[in-house]
Amino acid sequence: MKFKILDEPKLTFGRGDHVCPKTGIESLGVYDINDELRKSELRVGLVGRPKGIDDLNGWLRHCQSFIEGKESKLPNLFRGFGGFSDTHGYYCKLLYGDRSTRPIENSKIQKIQKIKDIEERINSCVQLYFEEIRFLAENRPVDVIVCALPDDLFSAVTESPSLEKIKNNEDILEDRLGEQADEEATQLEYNFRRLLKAKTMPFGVPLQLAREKVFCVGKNPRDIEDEATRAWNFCTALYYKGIKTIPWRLREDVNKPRTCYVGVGFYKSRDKKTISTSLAQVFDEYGHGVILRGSPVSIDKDNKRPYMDKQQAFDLLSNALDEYKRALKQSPARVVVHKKSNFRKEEIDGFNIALELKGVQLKDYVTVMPSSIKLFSYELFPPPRGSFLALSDDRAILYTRGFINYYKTYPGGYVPTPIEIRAFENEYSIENIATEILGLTKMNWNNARLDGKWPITLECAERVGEILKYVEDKQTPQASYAFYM
Amino acid sequence: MKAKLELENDLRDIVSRIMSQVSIASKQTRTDINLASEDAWIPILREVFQASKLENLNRHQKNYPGIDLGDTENRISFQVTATTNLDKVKDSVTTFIDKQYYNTFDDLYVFTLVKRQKTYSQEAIDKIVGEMPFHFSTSEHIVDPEVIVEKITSMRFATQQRLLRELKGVAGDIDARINSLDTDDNVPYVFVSNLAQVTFPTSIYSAVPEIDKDGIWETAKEFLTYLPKKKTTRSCLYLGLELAGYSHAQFVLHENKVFTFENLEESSPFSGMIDEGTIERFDVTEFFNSEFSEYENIFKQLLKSNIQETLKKDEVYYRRKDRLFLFMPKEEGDKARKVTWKDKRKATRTVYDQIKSSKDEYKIYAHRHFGFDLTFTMIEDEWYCMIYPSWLFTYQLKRTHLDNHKLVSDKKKLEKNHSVRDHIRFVSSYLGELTSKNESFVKISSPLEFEFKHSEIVDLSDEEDLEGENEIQNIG
Repeated sequence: MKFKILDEPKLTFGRGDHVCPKTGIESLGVYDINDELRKSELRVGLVGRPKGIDDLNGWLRHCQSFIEGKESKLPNLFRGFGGFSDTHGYYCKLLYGDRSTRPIENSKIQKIQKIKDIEERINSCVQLYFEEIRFLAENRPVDVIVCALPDDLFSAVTESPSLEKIKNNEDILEDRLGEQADEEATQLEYNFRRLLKAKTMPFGVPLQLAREKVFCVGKNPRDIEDEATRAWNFCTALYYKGIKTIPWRLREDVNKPRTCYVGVGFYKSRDKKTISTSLAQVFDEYGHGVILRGSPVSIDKDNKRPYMDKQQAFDLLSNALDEYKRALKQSPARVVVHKKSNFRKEEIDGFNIALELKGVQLKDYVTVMPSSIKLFSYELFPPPRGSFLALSDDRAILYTRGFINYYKTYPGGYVPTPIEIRAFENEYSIENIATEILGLTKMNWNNARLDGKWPITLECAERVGEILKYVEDKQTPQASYAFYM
Repeated sequence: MKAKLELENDLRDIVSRIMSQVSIASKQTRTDINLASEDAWIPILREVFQASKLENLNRHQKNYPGIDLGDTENRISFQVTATTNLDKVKDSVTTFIDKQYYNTFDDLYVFTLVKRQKTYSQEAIDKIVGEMPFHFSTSEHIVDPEVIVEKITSMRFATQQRLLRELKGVAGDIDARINSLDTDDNVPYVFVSNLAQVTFPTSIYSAVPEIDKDGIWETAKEFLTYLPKKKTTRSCLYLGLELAGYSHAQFVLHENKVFTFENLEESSPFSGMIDEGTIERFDVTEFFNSEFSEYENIFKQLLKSNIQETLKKDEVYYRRKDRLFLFMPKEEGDKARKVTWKDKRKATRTVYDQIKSSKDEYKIYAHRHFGFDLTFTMIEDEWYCMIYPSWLFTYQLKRTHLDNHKLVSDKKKLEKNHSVRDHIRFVSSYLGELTSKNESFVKISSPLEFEFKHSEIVDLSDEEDLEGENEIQNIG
């Protein structure tokens, strides 16, 4: 067994590299400022009840100037927000106003809250927001639409009948904020966020949903983050979704062959009867990718995990490589497939045939799952992010959350759970694979954290699956992550 | 206290020696000592300024003319010089601004290898800086070795000792530097894992059961105080063992075969309940190297059931529903249970107690049990158990408390790295002692530890801690 601490991967911004998205954007500007074709204006549509619209207007105004960081001995963690402006940082101007605003009457919201049946309540609420989103998307030149949800409405459409979290943390359907836990297997799943995102997808305008209290300025409610942190996360997500470009990328390694990263996720249909594959494909470290929908798969009777047969695995990877070639006009030299379950022989055979036909010689099939093995330091804080323990040539654990030297703290509760990495067929060493995964955990532009838990391949495949189950079969899903995050 | 004073005196002494060496060398126009000092000071500056990635930019041909040392991650840079006049400082600041280094570094320090002047004109510097997004304070950003020593003396004793040796290295006491590599203060970080090695017998025996289920059932009715729910081969085997006084014997029943660590080829608890002609002995490796996962599972079940039996004797019971081994009160009516254990030192911990009702002090609101689960994994041909500590709250010791989920969550919110680490050390120590004392087939040793010989400073011992992670507010 070999233990070491991997370096925090660096990100490339407009004028240089840094480990931290916040510091990078603030000091070096977003990555794409050198792109002549980039948009420098972000047109935001607003939907909410009158109070929510007022709060949102105030919040957007607030985000355009400097917001002081939380008073703390940890300045790097609670970094002040420099303001969303066209003179530095995001180098982009926020545009919004009455013409891009659609208020929802309070009476309609109150009426929905009184509906007893949760399914009917969610459907009605989705319909209410859907109509306003449709109007903005069809009649106003908006890049992204922010929906403000009153806190009590949020509770009314997200109440969960089950309070117990799923104990098995390897379950593919993790309990998340804003989602209902799975109910009886016969019931149809209803989820406000997923349903609204799927239903509005054809309009081609990404959504940003948030509770009204996220937009409060001045007095900070106890259960939400400080203003600067909220502004960082909100504005970064808004920028990525609206400008359709990237605020940062991984630092380029010129010695690495052109690699295509593929994340395979599985999702249950809404009636819980079938499990299908979802696929998020990252073309390169830029994070450019495409979303593909796979076909229904079987369940392994031994470990109750879904898996693909040879044909499905072949089809999935072949389609992914076709998309890659269509976008980049060439095939990758190397393909990395990430999955949260072990690779079965049929899957490997199907993938191998697909790669052989496309002439791809280098491949790494990697399982990434929560680790049962944990480490503890004899100091105050848990092991640092990047702590890497090679258990063998093809198995290792990696801390993607933990003490962060740049923050001088562990920004989490309880103790972090590392991830286990298993290489099934690999050209790269397990340490190199782990280093790559550590880099890919920083590629989630939905917030400004430097320590994602999962690589973007899997984070995205899972998010995609959550929404794809609500997308009609005949409907072509959007290819950008922005519609799923 | 005396040691601390002595240490501080040593620090001041070594620094004055270094400064006089540089001063003499400068007068002799020997710049080699300055160049050597640049690198020699790096480990000290890294620690003092929390710049873990500080490196010599000139040596690495990083394109930063005018700056000697830099850490782009922590955004801090140094100009190292033996010249202490204002002109030198002005030159450094001018270069910093002209080259727009403020995009890469937040701070520039001018580090004078000899004693800095008492004062420098802030006004002269402000004229150069003007409106630029950069701040340079002559009192704060011009530092000399004496300033560094002052900063060192406010650090922890062990850190001071280590830095003293580094400074001796700077001063040319090479021997001191070599010797320092093996001293206690250079102890690498140690990480303890939740992996404890497991040892077990080398053989597993199997045989086809041959029992009179009805006969055993009737006898059990007569002599035992309880009966299982169903009359199955498995339940009757357990009853047979119980009636014969071998309730400790463990087995796994798979495809109508008994698998056990008990030697079936000799007189065993299973004698009379198996078909002697079907006895087979397997090397244990055949189970965990088998291509069929069920054989590995049989082996793992045998490990767990043997530990389960050992723990039962000490009033620690496995609750299948909650997947936890739970510490129960030793005697009925006990209000608490404490266990003394020894790892690096002797300690006592409460593994069971009662929570009184807030409304009525004579009523028990809940029973709090410390517990743990074990799973098994093979790494590099050795077997380990993974320990997962947790808590369970019961109502009248039998049923899981209605508020268990919330009570456990509240308890875990208060637990951090050190508390979970000590849970694991306690469990492995407890299991180690118990399995070594008993005639258990399965033995558990101490948890594995890993050393990190750090080439960079990762100070995990900071006092600042967070209340916990706020939820991410954006929901998409």
